[in-house]
Amino acid sequence: MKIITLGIESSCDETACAVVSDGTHVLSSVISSQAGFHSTFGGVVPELASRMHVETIIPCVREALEVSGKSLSDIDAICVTKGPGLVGALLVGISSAKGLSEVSGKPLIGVGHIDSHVAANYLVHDDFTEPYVALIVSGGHTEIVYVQDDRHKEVIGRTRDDAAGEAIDKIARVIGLGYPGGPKMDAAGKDGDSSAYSFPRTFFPESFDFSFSGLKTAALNIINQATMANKEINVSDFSASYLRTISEVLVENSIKACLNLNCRRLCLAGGVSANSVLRKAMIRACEQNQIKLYYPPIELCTDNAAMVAAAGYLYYCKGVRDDLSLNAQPSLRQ
Amino acid sequence: MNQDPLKVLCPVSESPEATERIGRSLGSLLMPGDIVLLDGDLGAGKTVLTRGIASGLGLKPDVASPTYTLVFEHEAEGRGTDLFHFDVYRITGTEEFLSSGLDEYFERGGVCVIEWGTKVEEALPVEPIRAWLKGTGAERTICLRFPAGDEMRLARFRELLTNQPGIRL
Repeated sequence: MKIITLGIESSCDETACAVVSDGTHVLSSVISSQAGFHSTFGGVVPELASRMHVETIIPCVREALEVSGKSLSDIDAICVTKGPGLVGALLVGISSAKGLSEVSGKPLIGVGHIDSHVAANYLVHDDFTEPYVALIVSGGHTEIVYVQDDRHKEVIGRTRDDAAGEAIDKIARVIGLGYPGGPKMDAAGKDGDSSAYSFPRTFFPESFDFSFSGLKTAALNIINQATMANKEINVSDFSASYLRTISEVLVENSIKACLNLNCRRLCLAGGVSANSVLRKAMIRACEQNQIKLYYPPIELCTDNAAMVAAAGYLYYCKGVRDDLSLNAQPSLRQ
Repeated sequence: MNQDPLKVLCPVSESPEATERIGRSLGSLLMPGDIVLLDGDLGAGKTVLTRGIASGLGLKPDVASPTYTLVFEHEAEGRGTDLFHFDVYRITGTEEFLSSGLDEYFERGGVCVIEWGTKVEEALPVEPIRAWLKGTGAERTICLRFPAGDEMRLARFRELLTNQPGIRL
């Protein structure tokens, strides 16, 4: 008997719903992105985000069920992102999931967003299994998690200030690339000279933690100095150099964590793992250190509901169940 | 800004560590219900100052930027005062702040620190403590203004900062 999970995601600017079989096979995955809409405002506008989630969530659920060929009665669990994220946006998904669970009598499972990003790897790699080290890197996260087995999981490194994606988005905005900053900076820096500008790299002794605020400040100072001298920065070189610095820090800490734990599997997750500079640097470093690298295809790196359904399947198998008291946890730390 | 020395103090911080110490001194003077607005350029040290405030409140200085989630809740778990750390960089203004229900945090008996807070000042139930951070170079000036009638706290703050390394008054 296959376990069929329905996933709902609304933690930021994507409204998404998906149906997944056994946590590994995507039967349907519907994503309604607001990124184009928010780009007019230079970033996600939280209140608008919540309102748009309200409008799109039911059509999303309907479409995901239809494409999968399943009806609500075929679903074994309704899984929904409980946090972290924007509180108003999360509540839209959670309330919808509660409603679906109530009418169908199917169990409700609140899923952590970070677990979901990692679980995206189960959807595409047959040989992906514990133990592994995961680097979760997105607009809101920069974390290294060690997953020893299905019950032992530990966050061993996290950003002490800005998330990597945030440092990219903010600087992309300052140099006029707009939102979403990651893909735009990636494209802008494609043929740039990555050693043209030099930025500080921050590491902490005996820790896998990150800090990107010094890098962000250094970038702002370079931009301000250029403006004061009536010069323009070379956006292509600047983007290439900036992304290279961020990637090198992410790679170095991830590899250090793997070697330290004697773990030979590393997975990438989260929106920034779609970044081509980071991918190339990570592929090279893993080859040099005989570490097997897993990363999801780009459509599963950014927020989606298939990963929520995949993570929900793992929770389901462990016996995790929620009830109607499930609430949004905007600052959830896993 | 009113430069009345009874109401405003502008310490100069010579390092991120000093900025954090200024935050810690401020945090040790805060009480449940206080709201602190932080304004200043990107990269001026708002999150670092907040980390100091957290440790001054008796919390773990485990403070990251809440830009993406708008608010991070730091609960005291028995010791210290709860801290609700906002970043309204992405919010358009007071109306959106209120319609997102973020003002509910003001009722939760903790200290609220709001980065880019001037944007939402009309939503505040009490007169806030204001901090302006200037500069992104080696030195940052951090001007703090306490509400009217709070001269005692400002005087105490000045005492706490006196003779601290990396901080000039």
